[in-house]
Amino acid sequence: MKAPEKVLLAACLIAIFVVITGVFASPLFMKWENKKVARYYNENGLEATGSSNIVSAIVWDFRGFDTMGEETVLFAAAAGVLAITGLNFVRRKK
Amino acid sequence: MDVIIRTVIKGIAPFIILMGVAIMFHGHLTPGGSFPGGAMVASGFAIIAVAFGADEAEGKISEKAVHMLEGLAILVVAYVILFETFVRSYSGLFGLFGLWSSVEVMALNVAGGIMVLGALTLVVLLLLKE
Repeated sequence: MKAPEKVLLAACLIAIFVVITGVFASPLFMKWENKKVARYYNENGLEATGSSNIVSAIVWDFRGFDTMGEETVLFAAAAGVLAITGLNFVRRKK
Repeated sequence: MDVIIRTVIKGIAPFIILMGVAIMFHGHLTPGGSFPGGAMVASGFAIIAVAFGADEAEGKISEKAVHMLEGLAILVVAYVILFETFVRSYSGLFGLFGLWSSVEVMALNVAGGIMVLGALTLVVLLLLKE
């Protein structure tokens, strides 16, 4: 390994260390009381969606558009497996 | 497969599938939801397919039916989410998908669970056939 690459690697490692330590040591970490969105989900989740499982309420209602993309990824995975394995299946029938 | 494995799975697979369906339908009340429930039902189908072979499992779980179910489920999911996001929030049509105790979370949980179980079952069945 050449000298500039070593310097780059050391800089990357130091940057990762600083960022992770900064996030976990920050006094704002895991304090949800001051965050508007988290407060809204916690206080109005039950009345707004009727679902007492708050994870389900957030995943399927407040962030439903996100979840639709996730389901599309699953559908694409199944379609990909079908496209790879099922091609000669179709050809055999004809 | 072995006769012991076949006998045990014959007794245990219906309960696994039933548990998955229950988790799917109670997703808005209890922990769990669409993905754990769908994965549980799919694993019930998968152990049937592994124990009895792909040809035997084809008689119980039709691959064509799984295809159609999965396509229908993703259409339902996409329609309900797009409706909820872009139409109902602005027009005030409240309670169109209101089912028992949740507004639309239960319908979405069941449709998403069918989607997940279709995808996982298809992957297992198709790879087992190769």
